[in-house]
Amino acid sequence: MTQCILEIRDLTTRFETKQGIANAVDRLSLQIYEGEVVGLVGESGSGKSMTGYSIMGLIEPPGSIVSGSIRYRDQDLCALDKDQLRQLRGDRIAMIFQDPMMSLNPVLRIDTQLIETLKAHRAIDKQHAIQRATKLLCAMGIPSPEARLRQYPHQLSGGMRQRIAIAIALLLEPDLIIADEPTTALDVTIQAQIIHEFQTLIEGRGTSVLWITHDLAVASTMADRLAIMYAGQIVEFGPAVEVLKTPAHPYTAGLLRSIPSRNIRGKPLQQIPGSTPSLTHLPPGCPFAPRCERATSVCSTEPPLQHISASRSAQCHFPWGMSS
Amino acid sequence: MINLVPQEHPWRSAWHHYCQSPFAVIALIVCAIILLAAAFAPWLAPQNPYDLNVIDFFDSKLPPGSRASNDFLYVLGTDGQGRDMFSAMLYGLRISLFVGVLSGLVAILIGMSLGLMAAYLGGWVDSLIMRVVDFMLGFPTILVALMLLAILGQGVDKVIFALILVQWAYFARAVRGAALVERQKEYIEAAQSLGLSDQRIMFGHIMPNCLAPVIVLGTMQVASAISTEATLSFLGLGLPITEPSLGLLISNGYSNMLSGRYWISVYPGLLLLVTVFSINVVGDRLRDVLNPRLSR
Repeated sequence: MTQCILEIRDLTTRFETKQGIANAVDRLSLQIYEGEVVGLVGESGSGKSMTGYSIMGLIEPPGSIVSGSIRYRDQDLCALDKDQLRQLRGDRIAMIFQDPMMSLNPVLRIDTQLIETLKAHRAIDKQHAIQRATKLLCAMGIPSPEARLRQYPHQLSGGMRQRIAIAIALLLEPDLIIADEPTTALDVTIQAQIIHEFQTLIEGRGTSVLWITHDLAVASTMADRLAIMYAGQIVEFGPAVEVLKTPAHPYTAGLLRSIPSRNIRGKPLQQIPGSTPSLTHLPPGCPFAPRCERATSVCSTEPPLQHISASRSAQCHFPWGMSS
Repeated sequence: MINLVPQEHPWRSAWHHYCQSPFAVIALIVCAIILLAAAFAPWLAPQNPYDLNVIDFFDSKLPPGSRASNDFLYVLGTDGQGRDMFSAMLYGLRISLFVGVLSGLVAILIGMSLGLMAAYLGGWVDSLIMRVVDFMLGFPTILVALMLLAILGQGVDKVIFALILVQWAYFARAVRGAALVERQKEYIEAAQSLGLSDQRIMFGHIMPNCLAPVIVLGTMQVASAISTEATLSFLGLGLPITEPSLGLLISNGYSNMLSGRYWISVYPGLLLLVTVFSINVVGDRLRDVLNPRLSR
């Protein structure tokens, strides 16, 4: 068995807003093993980004982590002080953000941003830092990296910028990368190129990845295992191939049905009825029950975590594939 | 979908935008000439107004265009001590600008650091700094400066100190506002997630993005510092008589105004007016150019 890199147990991240208390992440448990890619899939507002932010310690008031633990190898990230956390961030755990227009500092040159990251964690002189950065930009498929290094973010296209953001995340060869929808803002051809380059790089290094996305198609090409999130909870978890082929949770099934390419031409697009519930006013029991075709009166009680097989689980009263 | 076309550097496009107003370009050129004239005053001035050997007391209060006994031409006349007005004005401009720019720069440094800390650290640090800022802004500038100088006495250093004290709060407030906006942006989260230190994020990442409002305010504040210093000197609380600034020159000639010797006050007054006016025009234009809400 490979080693567990990150173990999240019963994590609850709460936002206290004027509208009420919202658990953006609700008793979430998740393990990520060495060298694997876990896809975290959910709609907007399902708490998938907040899970990533919680791991990175980027939750700011009015939000806070109220309970649970996040263990990176043998350290509890929630218990670390600011300096210890800073040493881990960027070095052992790195993050890639959604919008490459926003995640690079607009007034600093690319080389400045790469070198300062290296210098924050390693005693390295400028020349070696530039060498290392150049090599990595090459590997990310950036033509003439020496010239790119001397440019500002606004001189580069969105695809180039995201390549650079990924290069910065990979710079110190972290064990774990939190990728928060890194290809969502890019057009499809560039998305495919970047995913390919990223995959090659992480496979070579054995980096673990938490790939956060709302796009099941992207998740299916990237992820070894999939976690489907709804209203702050992981409703289904298992190997990507199995989850996509035989979904156990009605929500996963609904998501798969609503992918346009799976629908039959000429028929209206299938969708999940209703809309995502407000986190401040969740229905009692299963949060998906009001939209669920299989729901009965039992569903107004807390659904149990049911193990469909050794590697698969679903948080549902009536999952598919249960041997009753 | 994001814009995939590479754009022009924001500072360069701001410069192009600036140049679209010929009036502002003229003001900028005037500013540059004034700055150069002040910097090279000892080489440009036909007479050293501090050198008592070259000043002839019998040449005092001569009208513009008069000649001295040694055939020296007083282009703008002489003042009550017999100094060449043109030379005295160049030296006065030098002191006025020195006081205005230096106090402005130090105030920017202090105000910017405190504003950044308030915005980035938040909590009680923010409350403390901003309450002090509110307190400082609650008093009229000239009143605080007057009281300070009444306590400290005269001198260039004291005037600069007083001007710093009345100015820093404006910068702290402006920078805090800009930094609060920048702090919410994703690149700050990205910088945090890379494990950069707070100081590095504050001064390396947020600060360069807050420069636009600081430049605008700084320009305006330099103009205001120059006129405040002139006011203080005019009231006799600013610079000592041995180092006459423009304000002091105006003050010196004030008593001669009614006797028809207008040049002793009017020419330094005009120079002060042109200086402050052109700096303000440049500042106004910078605000139009650098304000993201007004940008194209």
